Amino acid sequence: MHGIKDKLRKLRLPDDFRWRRVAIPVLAVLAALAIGALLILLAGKSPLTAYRALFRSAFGNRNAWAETLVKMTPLLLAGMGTAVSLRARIFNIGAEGQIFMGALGAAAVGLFFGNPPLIIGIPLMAAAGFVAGGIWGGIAGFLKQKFQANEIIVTLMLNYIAIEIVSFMVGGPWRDPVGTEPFTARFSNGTILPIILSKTRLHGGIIIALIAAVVIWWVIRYTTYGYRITVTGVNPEAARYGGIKTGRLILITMFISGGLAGLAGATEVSGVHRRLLESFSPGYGYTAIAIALLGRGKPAGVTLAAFLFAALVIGTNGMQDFVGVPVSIVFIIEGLVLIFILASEVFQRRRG
Amino acid sequence: MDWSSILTYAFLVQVLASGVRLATPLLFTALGETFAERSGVLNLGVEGIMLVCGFAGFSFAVVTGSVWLGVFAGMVCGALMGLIFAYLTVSLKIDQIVTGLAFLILSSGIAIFFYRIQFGHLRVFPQVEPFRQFTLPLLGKIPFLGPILFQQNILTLVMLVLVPVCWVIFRYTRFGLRLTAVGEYPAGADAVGIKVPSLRYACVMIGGALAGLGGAYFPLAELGFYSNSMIGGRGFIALALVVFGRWNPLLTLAGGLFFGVINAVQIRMQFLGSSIPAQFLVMMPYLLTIIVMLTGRTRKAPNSLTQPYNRE
Amino acid sequence: MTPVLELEHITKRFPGVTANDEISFTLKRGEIHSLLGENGAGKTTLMNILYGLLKPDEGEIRVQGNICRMESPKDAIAHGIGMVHQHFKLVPTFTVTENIVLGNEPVRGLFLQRKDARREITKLSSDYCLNIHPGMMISQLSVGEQQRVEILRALYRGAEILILDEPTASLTPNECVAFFEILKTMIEDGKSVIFISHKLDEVMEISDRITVLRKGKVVGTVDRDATDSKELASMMVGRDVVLRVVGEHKRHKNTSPQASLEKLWVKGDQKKPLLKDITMDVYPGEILGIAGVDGNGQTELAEVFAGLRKPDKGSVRIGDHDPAAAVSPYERIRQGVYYIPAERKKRGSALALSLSMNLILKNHATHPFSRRGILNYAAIQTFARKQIEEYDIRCPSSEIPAETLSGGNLQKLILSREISGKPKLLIAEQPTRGLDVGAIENIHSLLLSERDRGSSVVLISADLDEILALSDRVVVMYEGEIAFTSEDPESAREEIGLAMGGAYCTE
Repeated sequence: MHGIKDKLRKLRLPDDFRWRRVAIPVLAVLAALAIGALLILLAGKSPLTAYRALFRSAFGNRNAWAETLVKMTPLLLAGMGTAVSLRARIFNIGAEGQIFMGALGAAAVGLFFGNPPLIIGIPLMAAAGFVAGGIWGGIAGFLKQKFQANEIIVTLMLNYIAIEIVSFMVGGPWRDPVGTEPFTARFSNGTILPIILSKTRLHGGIIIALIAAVVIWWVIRYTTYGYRITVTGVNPEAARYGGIKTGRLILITMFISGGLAGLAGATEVSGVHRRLLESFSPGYGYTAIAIALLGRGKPAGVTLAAFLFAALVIGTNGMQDFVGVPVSIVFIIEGLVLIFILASEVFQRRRG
Repeated sequence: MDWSSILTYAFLVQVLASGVRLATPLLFTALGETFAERSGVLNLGVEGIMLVCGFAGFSFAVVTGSVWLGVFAGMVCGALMGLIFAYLTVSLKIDQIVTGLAFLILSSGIAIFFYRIQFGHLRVFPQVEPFRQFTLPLLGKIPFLGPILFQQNILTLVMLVLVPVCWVIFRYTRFGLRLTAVGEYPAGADAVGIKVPSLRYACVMIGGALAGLGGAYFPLAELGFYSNSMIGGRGFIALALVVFGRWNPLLTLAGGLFFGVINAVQIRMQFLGSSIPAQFLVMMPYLLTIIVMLTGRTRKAPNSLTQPYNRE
Repeated sequence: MTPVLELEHITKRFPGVTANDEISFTLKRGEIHSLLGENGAGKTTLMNILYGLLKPDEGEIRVQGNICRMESPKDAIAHGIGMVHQHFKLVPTFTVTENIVLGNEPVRGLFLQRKDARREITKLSSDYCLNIHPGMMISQLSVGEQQRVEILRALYRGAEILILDEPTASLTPNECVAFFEILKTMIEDGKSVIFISHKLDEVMEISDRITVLRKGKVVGTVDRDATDSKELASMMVGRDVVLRVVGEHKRHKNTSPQASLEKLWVKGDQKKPLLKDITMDVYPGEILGIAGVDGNGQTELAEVFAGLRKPDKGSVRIGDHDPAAAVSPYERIRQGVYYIPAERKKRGSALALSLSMNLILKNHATHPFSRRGILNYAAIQTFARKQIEEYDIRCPSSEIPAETLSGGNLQKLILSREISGKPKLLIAEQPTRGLDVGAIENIHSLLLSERDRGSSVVLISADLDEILALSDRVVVMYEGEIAFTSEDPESAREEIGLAMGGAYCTE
């Protein structure tokens, strides 16, 4: 009896933590794609053809890769922003609004600062985007700290308000005088992110995003500020007892969080559109939340999740263009991946 | 803008009546969410439920030709979504806020996707005959209040009746006492033999069904067609209303009516060509919600709100 | 005569520990049978099984000779078993009536019949001299009153067998006397009582029979008249126990106080102020004991010292620092004030973080743990390893999450952190609550050595023995006021006990 039990135990798959950490997300994605296949069938299309189109659009050739990375830029930045605030257990749902305000800030530089050389223009444009998004996030942080206003609802409402503000500016005071379309004039050359891969749309924003991810990882892990965010997120009462100034911390964290999302907006309008327009964000801010949750707040995870979701977005766009599957399937897949991973964590906990 | 046409009695009555109408989806969702939150569960996904059930109800109405069946379908859809949410947050004990966010993302996809599949190929977008507005026999004749409250479509009237009904349920029934106990102090309820998970399931499903009703309101009771921008954050505003109303249906009604009237005023001002840019008018309800959140005291929140219950 | 309750060979296993091991126990009609044991002996688990909150792995329960299976508290209640928990399970925002009927509500159709319930509650209350008004809200009742509500609830449901879990833990000496009277009334009425406690003197006073549990097993069942405290204590612990740890008491002379409170008032939300006109000094090199039953303002006092609560009136002076300045917790820590809170898990630690991360909580921004805002992990881990060894904290490494530590080890971790800050003023709030005898001895000697090092120690405790064993001076708090002070606590034991019960209250 004893011998058989031992032999069975050796046969079982390795209980290695790392194995599980990689396998679960992969399985979740596959499961979500499987359900996606069913939905594609419901749409009257062949899942095989559809998924082939998805793959080719995201990874098929040099240009596809470039497009995926272009999409990844705002997702990674906004995802990092949301992840930072999540780490302090602040539910910042306002990435979308912060993206818009960041774009507004970038536009201010792009339109009204003459034509500076790239080496000044880009940092200035990026800084303006960061600050504008940061202030937008800071408003919610301030209201939370001063009035205990629930940040979920406040940031959500600020999203809608930000979108309206941009819509107003773009259709009114900042409208391109040449036409009657609701967008601004082209940004000055010195504030447009240069293309880094010839004959594609891949612009320098991806470098900014990757650098930001590394910087944030380092700050959270190795600085006292990062320590304070972590403690506050785990147990705010203990943080306060320990002398951490939680009110100020919330404010600073929301500023940084909003700033990163603002940077996402800035790089998007500077690198892709080169002008400010109304609906340049197809819900990046909300996808960013899913990315932050999937990445579990760890920059490596967030980067991976951003890449995955970027591929999904590009791929499903291709699915719509070439096969006719509605692009909204991407949200279904995203939502399912999130739910599967959350549910699997529960079952993991039970086993362990 | 022509002020003289605004400051008339007729205009005031019109705006208030509109306000009551526009408050309807807000209040259905808010009432439903009050049940869920009083039992300790925060459902951020109500916006998503409104989206999906709005579509589901509309789609069912188109297919069956009956608006009533559409309403029914919307509510059933909402209850089902509530069931799934309850399973994730009460049984699996996944963080309620995170689950709500996942629901939001999933729902926006589902609503748009299935609408495209079902109706995307049509050249003319589909329509149904919405509920007619009618006047209640005696009550409708009361001066001032009559046209405002009692000349409405059936769903609005249902909403007006539902508010006091919910208040009675919370205060005077066994179910209301138990769900409040579960929300305030689940360990205490468990110790006397109350099944905490079952009650939470029930309340979340009620919340879902009512949110579904709220979502189905615009397509089926007023406009007769569906578009996913119809909800426009009303689910979130409803969440704010629950806080503003201190989890009390009567106060929530007051808040909802206030919002409805603001919404009505904003629409009319746009219509009348006010000099204020359209975007700032559209912003008003959202700005107002933020202000509401500053005054709503969350100290009176049900004690166990957002915390899963573990019997230790 | 059939015993009214029999537990036979009850066994309950949890991963890593057998909480109840073949426990057999009988309860006779009309008797008070005490269940005695230390923390972790298995008393609460056994009662949870009896009350239907847990299912036993093996064993049987018999009520009036009939075998019963308790699937939930509803079954227990149906068999006439009522439980008064140590930590009351009353909904604070409900009235007495609502709490009592919850789960068993009188209804007509869907609607509650509040009036009927009120009538019956009033009758029961007067029958047993419980003195409870059905319309009051629980949050407005005192601890003693809340406990009587729980008793009332058990009676309302027709309990014939009452389980009382550490009932006197939060009662003043006066309330205890009243409580024992109530017990006697219930016994005369034919009820039977299981009295769970770890307090030897009470058990000796009130019981007919006593069953001692140790590490999940029954050590023995004795008649009260055939035993004494010493025998019970050695049964509980398994060895001859020195019942008290006594330190050598010191008297300070002619030094200026380390900390002073002057006419301090803290208002709070309710009508009653939390702290009323508090004036006290704490001197270096002494242990000032603050005696009092939990909930009389002690926590607020500690919070004021630590900067976690701003007084509404009056001043707080620490060392030479300006008393008028509004001070944050961060500044108080820099001024040398360290605080061991009663809520170890909610306030004193971040359970999900590692031991080392917990250890640097208050000093993470200082040398050697960080420099110019950048953490020095090597220094942090060296420090952690040193602390773990010095304080004998049982754990596999410094990087495991704090939630895996046992209660005693967690408290040692917190103490090591606070003491490592070289405090000038150390506030220890209920430092040994819930710990076993070994850990208690440990903590007491740590507090004594802090005092000997020259720091001021404020010991807040509801355990009179602990206060008397350690304190050089004693202040008694009752309802937010100082009710009594003593420079020679050992000789004033009786007055201190009375003061804790409100005998010297100014109202």
